[in-house]
Parts: sequence; C-alpha cells; structure tokens
Amino acid sequence: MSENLYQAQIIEWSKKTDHAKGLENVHCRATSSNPLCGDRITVELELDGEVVKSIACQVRGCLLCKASSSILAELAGGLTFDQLISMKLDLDLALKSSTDDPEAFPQEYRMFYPVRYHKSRHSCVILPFEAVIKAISEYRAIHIED
Amino acid sequence: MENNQMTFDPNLTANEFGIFRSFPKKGEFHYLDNAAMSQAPDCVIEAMVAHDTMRRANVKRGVYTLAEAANTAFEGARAVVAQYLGVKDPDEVIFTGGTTAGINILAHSLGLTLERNDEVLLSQLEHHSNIIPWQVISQRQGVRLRYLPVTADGRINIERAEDLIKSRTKIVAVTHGSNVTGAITDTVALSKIVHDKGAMLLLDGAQTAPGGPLDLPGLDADFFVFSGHKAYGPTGVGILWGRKGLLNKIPPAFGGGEMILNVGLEKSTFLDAPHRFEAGTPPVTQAIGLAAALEWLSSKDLPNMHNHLKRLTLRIIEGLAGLDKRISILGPKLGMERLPIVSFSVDGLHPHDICQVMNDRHGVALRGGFHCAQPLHDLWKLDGSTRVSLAPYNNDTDVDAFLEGMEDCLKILS
Repeated sequence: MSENLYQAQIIEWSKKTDHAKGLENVHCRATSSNPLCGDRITVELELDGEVVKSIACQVRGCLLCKASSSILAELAGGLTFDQLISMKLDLDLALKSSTDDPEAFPQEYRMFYPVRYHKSRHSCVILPFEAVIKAISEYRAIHIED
Repeated sequence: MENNQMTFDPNLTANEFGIFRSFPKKGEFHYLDNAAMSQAPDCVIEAMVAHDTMRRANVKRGVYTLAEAANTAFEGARAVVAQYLGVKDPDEVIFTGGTTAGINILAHSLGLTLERNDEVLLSQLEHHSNIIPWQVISQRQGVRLRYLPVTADGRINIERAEDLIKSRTKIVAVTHGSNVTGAITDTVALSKIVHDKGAMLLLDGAQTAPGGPLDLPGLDADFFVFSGHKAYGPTGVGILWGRKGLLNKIPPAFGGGEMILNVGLEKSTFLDAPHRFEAGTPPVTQAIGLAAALEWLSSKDLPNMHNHLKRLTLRIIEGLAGLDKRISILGPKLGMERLPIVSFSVDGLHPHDICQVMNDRHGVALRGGFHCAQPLHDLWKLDGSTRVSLAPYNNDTDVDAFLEGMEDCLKILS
C-alpha cells in the first residue's frame, strides 16, 4: 500500500461497516456530498437532548471518506453537539496545519496525518463531519423555533 | 518551425517540454491527465517570456513604439489562431479567458436576445461549463433548456435533433468532443438540422482543438470555443470564434475600455468584433503563448501523430478490457472514431482511490470523479469514473505504466 497516503490503518478503518445500519430512532438526519468526486454520506443521529446516543453513517465514497466516517461513528456516542462541532474544527485545523510532527496531530485522527499533504483530499476526510454538523444545525434550527 | 518533425516521434516531442526533462530526476512520472490540462512546450514559455521582456505594453492603446510592437504581436497571434481554425477573417477570433469564459460571454450576449419560452438545446454529454451558463440565462429570462440524449456508448444522439429542435429553439450548444467518453460529435449532420430550423450552433471544442488545425467552415458551426491550457498553451486564455455577421448583431456581455465607438453619460456604442467582446485589457502575453502553441502543434507530422495516439488509445482500451471483468469502459466501441480519452469505472472501487494509488505507487497522473460532467454520470448511475487522456508526448512506456499500475491497483484495493 502507498506509504504516502493509504496506510494500513486507513484501509482497516475504511472496511468497518458496523455503523452503516440505519437507526430505529432517528432524531436528525443529513446528507452531504462532494460534487467533485461524487462522495455522498448520510448521517443519522439518535439524541438525548443535545447528546448523541447513537449514530449511523451510510457512505458512498472513497477509502478516506469511509475511514473518516468510521472514526466519527466510533467517537460520536456520548458527545454533545458542541463537542462534535469542536471536533470538526479540530480536524479541519489539523489538516490545514503545517506541523511536521505526527505526534502534534490529534491522536484520534492521527491516521489522517499524511492527508495534510494532499489538499484536494481534505474534503474526503471532512465530509462525514460536515454531514453531522449539517444534521445538528437543522435539528437546532427546528428546536429553537419550537 | 524549428521543431518540425518529418516523422512523428513522441520521445523527441516529450524532450521539447521542460517538465518532462526535469522529472526523471524526481522519479517515475506518467502524465495522463491531458484532457484537464496539457503541458506547455519550451517554445510557448519562451514566446511569453520574450514578449514580456521585449514587447510588454498594453494593446490597442499607445502610439509609442513598444505599444505598437505589443499590438502587432497580439494581432499576429489572432491571425495565427484564425489560420489554425481554418477561417479567413481574424476579426472573428475573440480572445477570452478560456472555454468557460467563451461560453459565458456567448450565453450572456445571446441571452439578451432571447425571449421567455425560447429554447436552448444542450446535450446530456456536456461539461458543466456548457450547462451552467445556460441555466443562469434560463433562470434569469425564462428560457427553456432541453437536452439531446446520449447513446449507450456515450455519443450525442443526433437522430433526436430533428424532434427536439423546435421553432422556439434559438441556440444548440453541444460538445464537439466529449471530455468523458471521447466521442466526437457528427457536426455536419447536426448543423444541417440546426440551420434548417433557423437556430444557431455553438460547438465546445475544448477537447478537439488540441488535436491539430481545424476546418471550422467544414464543421458548419456558428460559434466555436476552446481553451489554451488544453492545447499546449498557457492558462487564462481561450478563444471564442463566431461568424462575423452574427457577432456584430449581438450585444456585448461585458463593457469597458477598448470595445467602444463612443461613450456618453447615458449611452455608448460598441465596436465590431473582435473588440466588441474584448472589454478591458485582454490576456496579451497568454495570447502570444497560445499562438506559439498552435504553431508548434501545426508543425508536427499530424497524420503520424494521430496514428500514434490512436494506437496508444487502443492499447489502453484493450488492456483494460482484458484486465478485470469489473471494469466498464465508457465511450464509443472499438473501431469507432474517438478522441485519445478513455474513461472507465471499476465496480466496487472509487475513482479517487484508484487515482491516489496510481499516483503514489506508480507515478501515473490520472483524473477521477465527475470530470465536470455530473449529469452524464448521474444518467449512468456512476459515482464517478477514472479517466486516462493522452497527448503527443505520451508513449508506450506511459501505457505500460498505466496498465501495470491498474493491475496492481485492482489487487490492492479489492
């Protein structure tokens, strides 16, 4: 496998599909897509207030997008909306950072450290997080109106 | 031309490009994304450097010697483009920012002449740049868009033109050659139907212009657009060609300096083409570069160059077909005319994954995704495709690297 980008860990995470099954109780759902490559992800959230109880991600995309959604699904349970929003911002910043030290890259996303050299692929990693933020935003918009 | 080759040799051709001379030092490099952007030979870069170091001044303006020299060079470039397109009148040649800019200029200019419920006929094969400008006009003015369907092998179904071109159809805008399927449009058959019905025909020549000098009168189109960066020239320049009689009847898309006859506080009058459509300072240096590129290409042994590209294209198609049953090749069947472009999908594999592995492990530069043709991919229910596109500097080594890389890629990603 490519030592530059597609490391074994990314491949391994991309193959995890246990988060793909739809949820029974869906409080919010959103789909995000990347018009450049056709990647598309649908995220469903089951909530307890603004805390994620469980998450499902259906991905039609590349290995990076699949691996990223697996990481997201692994981490999201028990997190608040604000924690998810800040997680997305952290990942975004990490990908755009100029650090040459993999250790300086947040541990939970460290497998994506090589992606920072491939700017055109950042959106593949970010897409699942964008879908979650979209779902959260839509949920909040409805419930603030309520 | 200095680089005239009596017989075509891709390796000698590659040697005319600084980028290929420099890459052996950096490792394997097989550039197969020419449909997105071709490389520029040394002579193009040298022509632009020479212009900017010896003749840089604004055109159409100054009376001093340097400005005259710049203007002469700029108008000389226009004449070179006219010759390349096979048209007699250089005034029909408008310098734009590229194909997208050319279509936008035309859409906005012609759009001003369209009425609600008039129709523009496009095709399902189009690049986004030949869809979205018309959608803007459609939304702004209530113009209806209709689409010629594509055949199963990725050609525009010309047979449907007779039915789809109505009395309200004012413009038919289609690709001359597809950037996805490589199919070449039968413009002669199409233009007869278009003109019989009183409409105008625009051809998007972004992928066909890099193939060598054209015969626009033979294509019988009313407008033709192409880009410099796909035709061995610089970025930021392209051409909009139009019949003079039509160009001078339509209003300009943009206003500004050097395109006017008289300016008043309430109203202005405009010059004829080409200046009518070249508001402000045009891409002068890039136009010089584009002319150098077209002269460079014209100097090649074109029949043998085309045979070389056909042979490599055939090798790619046959090689892919024999590689794996999951591979589907888009575009015209073997034996039918096509551009040196081969797009394919691999069931279960994402184009970006293929492109990444091909780059990282094999030094092969491919393009993956929608290729700015999402409607076509949606029609075929594809999440994208992977594209190989050739240029005269590509050789058998590039094709070997591609096919060997794909074999490896299929093993790794499966």
